[in-house]
Amino acid sequence: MSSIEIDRVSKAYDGPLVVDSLSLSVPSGTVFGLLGPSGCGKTTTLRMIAGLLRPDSGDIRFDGVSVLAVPPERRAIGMVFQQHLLFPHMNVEQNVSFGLRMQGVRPAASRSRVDEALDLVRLGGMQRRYPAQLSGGQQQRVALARAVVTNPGVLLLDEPLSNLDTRLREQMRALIRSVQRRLGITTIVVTHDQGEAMELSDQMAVMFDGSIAQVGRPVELYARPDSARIARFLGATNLIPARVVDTTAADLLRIDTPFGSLDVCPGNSAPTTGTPRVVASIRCEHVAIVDRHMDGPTDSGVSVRDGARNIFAGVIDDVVVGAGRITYTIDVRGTRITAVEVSDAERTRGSTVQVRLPCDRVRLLPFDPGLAGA
Amino acid sequence: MGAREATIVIGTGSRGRGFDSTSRGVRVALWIVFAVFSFPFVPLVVASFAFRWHWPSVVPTEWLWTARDASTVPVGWAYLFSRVSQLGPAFANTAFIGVAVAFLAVALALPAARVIARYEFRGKSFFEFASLMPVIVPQISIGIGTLLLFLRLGLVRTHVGVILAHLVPTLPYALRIMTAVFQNLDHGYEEVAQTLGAGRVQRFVRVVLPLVLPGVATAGLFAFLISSNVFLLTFLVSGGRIPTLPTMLFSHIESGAPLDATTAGLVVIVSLPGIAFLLLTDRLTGQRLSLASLGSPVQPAVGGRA
Amino acid sequence: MAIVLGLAPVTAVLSLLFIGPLLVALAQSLGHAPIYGVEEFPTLRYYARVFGSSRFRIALLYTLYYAVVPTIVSTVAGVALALALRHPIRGSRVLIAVLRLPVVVPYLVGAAVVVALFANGGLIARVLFALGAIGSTGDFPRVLFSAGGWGVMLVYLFKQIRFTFIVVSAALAGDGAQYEEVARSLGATPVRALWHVVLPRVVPAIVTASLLVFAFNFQTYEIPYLLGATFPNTLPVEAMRRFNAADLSRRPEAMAYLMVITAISGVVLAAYLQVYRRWERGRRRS
Repeated sequence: MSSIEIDRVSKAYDGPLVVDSLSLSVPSGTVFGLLGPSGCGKTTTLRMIAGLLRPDSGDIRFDGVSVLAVPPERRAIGMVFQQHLLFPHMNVEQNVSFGLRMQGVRPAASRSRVDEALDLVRLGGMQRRYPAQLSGGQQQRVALARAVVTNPGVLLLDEPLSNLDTRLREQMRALIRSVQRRLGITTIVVTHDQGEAMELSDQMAVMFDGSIAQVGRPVELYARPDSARIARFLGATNLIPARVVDTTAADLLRIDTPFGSLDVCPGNSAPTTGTPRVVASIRCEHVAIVDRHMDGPTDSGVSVRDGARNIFAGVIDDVVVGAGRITYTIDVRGTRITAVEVSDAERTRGSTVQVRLPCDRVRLLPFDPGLAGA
Repeated sequence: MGAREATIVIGTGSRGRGFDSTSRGVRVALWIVFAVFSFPFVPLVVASFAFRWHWPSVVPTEWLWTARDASTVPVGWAYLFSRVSQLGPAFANTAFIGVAVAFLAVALALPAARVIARYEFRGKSFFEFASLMPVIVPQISIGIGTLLLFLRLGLVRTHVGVILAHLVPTLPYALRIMTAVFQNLDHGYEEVAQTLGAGRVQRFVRVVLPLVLPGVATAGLFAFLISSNVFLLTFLVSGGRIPTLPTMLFSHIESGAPLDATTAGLVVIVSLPGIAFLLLTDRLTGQRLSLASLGSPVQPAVGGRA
Repeated sequence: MAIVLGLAPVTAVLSLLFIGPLLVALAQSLGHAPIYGVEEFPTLRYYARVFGSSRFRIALLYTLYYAVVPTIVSTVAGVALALALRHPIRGSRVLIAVLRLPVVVPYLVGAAVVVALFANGGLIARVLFALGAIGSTGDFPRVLFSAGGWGVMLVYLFKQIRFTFIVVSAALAGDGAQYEEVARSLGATPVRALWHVVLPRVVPAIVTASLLVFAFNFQTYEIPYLLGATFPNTLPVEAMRRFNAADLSRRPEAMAYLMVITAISGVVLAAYLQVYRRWERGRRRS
């Protein structure tokens, strides 16, 4: 299994840089998620790793050795594309054995490896079928088997689930995860779906506009984003424009928000620019709705010295009932706060509730003129 | 609400039958057209079996099979299949030239079609437009010019000369059809093959070629068909020394009487490549590609970049 | 580099075999033909001779006449047929198969068919005689070898109505029926749906077909040669006559004819395209 280093790689097509001096390193045997909105350059990066595109500058190394001069067919990679792209004129067995044939493996020897690979993706017995006779999920599983049958050092997945429906996606995610664990193959998965990236990756990077915004373990990125844009991209969150007013207390930080002052636990600030203007982010599922006279700090699971702090009254403005979870939009003195409750007890629209913003769940992010007002 | 429902019902029901499914009057008219349009070949097929067909008889006066032994000069099929006629060499020439032209046209046009379908480059639309010119420019100008050129090059009255001359009307079609074929081919297949370790040659042989083969075969068949139909270029460049089916038919029409049995038989034989083409292309690609490609050559010129 | 390599074979072959012959003919038309003892390059003498002769002007008119009339008739008939057959009717597969055959056979087959049917001793004349409508072959109207060019034009129609039908049908195929249904569901009558939704989508195909048909009719040699009058006849026939003249020094004049045929054909086609594009732009604007 190869480790991968990307060293200050840039790429432009016919104008601005699509990938701008990007560096990454993926340890051997791990899964790395490359997450970003469409057009951020993540697929371009993946195609450069595959060798299908040449970087304008920078270097790409497998196990410390530059592969820039190596054509894709000799990079020992396996790749699954957004479209399954099974060769329509070959049956499943011929498709899966294609890479082995290219390596000169004899048909007799390749047969057992093809069978193994198909068993791995739970498609044993489908060898004689043609791609057109398979369902979408089956096609993508064959594509996965085809990519890994040669035991490549690197597995590259380009939006492998985006053409599948929700249920198939979950199955396929689990399958990719189990295949990767079984083979221990260094894997890079490119996706625009944060859930997919978080579930699949050991490490992940969020990418905007050709550059990496933040790298880390999925839980870290989710809980401790560096910017409002990252916070929002990784999941539903409340972004509140605020101003730091008191930094004197050692144990608490006080900020001013449009609906009142808020206490924030220290150590939960992104490296800010040092100005007092900030954005406070709190994930929707961390906003606790408490009934009027209740005063227990039980929701967050972290003991807080003063449970009464950060409690505000608000009116429920909108209710959206989802599967096992209910999303409320609450008007707190003119600021709309979104809260998600895992519950099946629906609160009524227009009722007055108390909203608690646990101080250890509020993260301070650099001021962002593009998002603060939204 | 009622009207809305009605609309929906009509909408779903119309797929097979069509809610204004062709009216009875139109249908009858179409069958009359059919009768008229299929009629012309019938008298010629009948005439090809006639030994004598004197004015003013509406059917042959004497049939071939009743008079065969009595005659000293063979006519109709008897003549065509006798050693005196040039049908054998004409058939062989037409087939040989057509096959050679088909292979050459495909081989020459294939790399260009690939490039046009895959790359954007300066002068691309001009190239596409210019490559269609041989279809538009008067054949007689090209033909006589070719004759003069080939006189100098020593290619007149040679098979090579005729084959080269036939490339001019066939290449534009071959290029056009194969460009469409390559445009329909997803570039991703080649990339997949590349990530699986296939080199340039392997990618082409194992992936690209099998996928484009039906389209390439259609282009080849179309080139063969055009070649087997060309009269003027063959007539000029062959100098009368290389008979083909069209030149043979030309001289029989020029000298024969109406309802001449030999001409009629020749018409049937000259139509064989066309019939074969229709049968083969239907089998190969379904009728859409073969039909659409007939009209496509000047599409970019017409569609234009207005 | 890959681009140059890919385009090179076709470019080389067409330059040699398409542009080459045209340049040779052009050079001869301008007086460069040492083989026939003509060496007065460059001269416009032969063009002057062509344009100065009344024979040329008559031939030009007949060429246009033989080209335009069948183009109009086959376009109207072919489009009508395509529209009539756009929804499958019982047996339309057979109908279409029969319609297709003449398109893929040489025009000479059409010539043979027209001769068999329309010659003065042909089948139609015989049927009319049997019915008592005519008394002798001389009573049958002269269709072939006449200045009216009916025989020539019938051969063109034999193939071109069907050709237009096929091209327009191909354009109508696909999702056309759905648009028509949408129009109908929005309250369009069948005729209005046809006019506003179906026809506009196939205009490019109609233009393409008629353009190819005209381009062919304008320059074809063998059909007017076989079935047209000795005089007047079309420009290609006149050109070939001069080319085949015993006096080889007349060949530069034949070449001038060829160049003029090529130029006029190009001008007419370009003008037609221009008109179409202007119409298309106007349509898009409205």
